[in-house]
Amino acid sequence: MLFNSIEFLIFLPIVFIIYWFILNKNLRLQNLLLVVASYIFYGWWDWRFLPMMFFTTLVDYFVGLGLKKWDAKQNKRKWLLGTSIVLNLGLLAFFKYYNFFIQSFIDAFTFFGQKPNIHTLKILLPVGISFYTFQTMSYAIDVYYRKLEPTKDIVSFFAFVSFFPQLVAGPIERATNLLPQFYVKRRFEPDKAYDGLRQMLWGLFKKIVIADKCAPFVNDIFSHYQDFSGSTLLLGAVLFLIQLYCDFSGYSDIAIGSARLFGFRLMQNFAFPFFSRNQPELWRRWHISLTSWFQDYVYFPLGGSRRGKWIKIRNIFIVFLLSGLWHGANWTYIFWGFMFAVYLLPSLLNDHPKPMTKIVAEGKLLPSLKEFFQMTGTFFKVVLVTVFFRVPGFREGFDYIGTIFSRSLFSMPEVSPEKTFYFIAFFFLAEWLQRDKQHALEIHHYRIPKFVRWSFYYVMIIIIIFFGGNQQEFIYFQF
Amino acid sequence: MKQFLKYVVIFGAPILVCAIALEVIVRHIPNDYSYKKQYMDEHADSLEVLIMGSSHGLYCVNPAYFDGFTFNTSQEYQSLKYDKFIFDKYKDRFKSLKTIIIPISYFSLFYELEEAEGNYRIKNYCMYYDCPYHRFSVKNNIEILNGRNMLHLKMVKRYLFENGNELFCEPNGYGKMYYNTPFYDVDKTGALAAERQSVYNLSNLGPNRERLHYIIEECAKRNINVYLFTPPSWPAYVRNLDKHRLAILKDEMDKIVKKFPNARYRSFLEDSSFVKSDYRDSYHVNTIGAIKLSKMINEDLDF
Repeated sequence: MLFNSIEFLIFLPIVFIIYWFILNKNLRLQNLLLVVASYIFYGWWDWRFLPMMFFTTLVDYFVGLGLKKWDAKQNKRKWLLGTSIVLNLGLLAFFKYYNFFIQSFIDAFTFFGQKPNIHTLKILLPVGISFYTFQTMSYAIDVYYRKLEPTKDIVSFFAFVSFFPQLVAGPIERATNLLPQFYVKRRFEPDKAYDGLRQMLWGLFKKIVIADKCAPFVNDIFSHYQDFSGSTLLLGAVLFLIQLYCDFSGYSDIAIGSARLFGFRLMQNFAFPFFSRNQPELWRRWHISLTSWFQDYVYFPLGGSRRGKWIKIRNIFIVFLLSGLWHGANWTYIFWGFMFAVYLLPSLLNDHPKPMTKIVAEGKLLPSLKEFFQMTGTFFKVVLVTVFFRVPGFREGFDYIGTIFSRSLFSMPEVSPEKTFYFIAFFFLAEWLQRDKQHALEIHHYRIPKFVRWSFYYVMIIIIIFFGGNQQEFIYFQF
Repeated sequence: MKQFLKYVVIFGAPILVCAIALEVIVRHIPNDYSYKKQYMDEHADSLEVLIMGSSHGLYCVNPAYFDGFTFNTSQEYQSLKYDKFIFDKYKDRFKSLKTIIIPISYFSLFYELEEAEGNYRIKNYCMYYDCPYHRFSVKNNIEILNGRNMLHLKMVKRYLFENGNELFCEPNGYGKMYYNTPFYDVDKTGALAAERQSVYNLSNLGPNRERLHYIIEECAKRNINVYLFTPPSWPAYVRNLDKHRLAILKDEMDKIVKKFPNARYRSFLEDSSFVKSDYRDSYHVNTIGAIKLSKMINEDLDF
């Protein structure tokens, strides 16, 4: 079920009403409702993948209990953790990467004049598998390292894994944050619910008005990139980055907003990354749940930055290559990750880089000239690398970037999405003004008359209904 | 909590009312589907020739050039599945029907509307033809969830204030969209069109064969002939067609003609009597070509 579909518009109020009006006195039944609703939500795409999610959830539940039971037996604990990791990564590897590795293997042998007798398979990728497998793995790892008590409450655990707002495209929640929220009675807090609705509205605006309107231009430019000038290709790459961000952060906003309606607090997944002044800051603001997952479960266990500069650089490269691979089974994604690691090299080689933890131009309306150039530079560096996120292969990617840096860069673009520019300008303005908040419509701090607020919401809804692009699936569903 | 719900309902009510109003008006605007259904409801008993199929039926076969009382129920992207649906809906009312004409294009046997880029047209069968397929699909049963609502608003404006409608066919069902559209370069677009139409799934052959056989068998019970034809196409298109698919098409048509005495098949695919000026694009004849083709089919009908 898509967030931007009529089915969800019907589904959400039904679940909401049953949750708060019928089952509000029974926490366990509320959790059970969330499980059932989440399985319906997921099964709406393809019910055939429900047993797989059920099975992995069940295995990790029992792994958690086993880790508690054999608390003193380290060998058994290792075996249990290994079972969870092998199962989760095994399923992910099979469904997502089997064909990629087999094809790479065939290509490598063909290069040396051999033709191995192996074939790729027709495999349907279950929606959201990369997200929920990482979430369940984090539970088993946290229990193994005794950061979290394993749960005996099977309903809460199933609800934690399948929680529909964030099931198919994140944020990838940690068990330490989300699971305990299922144990305690939720209280309906109107202010948080209103804010959740506002966040959903902003997410829908980003998805339907910005991302979906950019999509036709991006599709056209990337599919016929040979026919366009450098300036058009640059515009296409910029629009694609904006589309990608609005699509994914829009999803996250709807997910976080929906969760708030049910009394849950999910982690922030995007913190206005277009206003980052350098690459390290960008990665603290872009897809935060995945970045922090890799940080906690890959980077730190590898030694992080404690074992010298070169080990740190190695670890950063490993994390970004894995992050690229996580996104998709294609060498272009791995290259995409690699390039971000390369971008980080200057700050890694600098022994004492000054981390930019504060919000840009804090307390000011406009950034300084230096900050403006830092942000613009960071943005365009990301634009160039993100071309590899969209093209089918290296040749196309390098051709595309080669054309951008040709003379035709100084011509007028052949494509002019004028109306979309107005909305993009509004989007940037709103995000800039609200960059110290959780989302751009977090306005409860301001004293704005209800009439003005409601008028603004109506205008937003009218824009979404009448100026939105044609319905497109969320880009991150393919991951 | 109740206060929250109250505000949500108060806030949402005007949006809901406007949405319902828009839906009701848009549904009320006459379009090709509602018109053809109404026409069939009224005239199915007296029709003598019925044309079905996709754009090759809609734009390439003009009922005005047939001897008997003829109507064209074709629509762009209409697949054999929906031909069968329309046939089933009216089959018991075909008292005077002598012939059904169905274009069997290069792609017809492998094509499903549900898998094609024109699948947004499914809703028209659900909403205007009472089609039971996709009955439970919310999107296919609500007009304003399809396409851009700005266009819906423009449609409403045309309908309410300019007395307009959404009819793009002649009273006899023949499509008139090609009257004013530009001519495409048939040499340049041929290869691309052939490539685009070679992607449909070969596994759809079985169900489509069954549908076609079913229509012919049911027609035989009612003494109705079935005239199948492959429309004329420009050499640049024909040259680039997949030979395997073409062979399947020919084989299937041969089998049908052998098996069913009430069926006839003619391929105009490489008919040299159609010249460049007869084409609108590499695989559709224009209105002039349609006259030529319609006359040729009409002559063939006495079998």
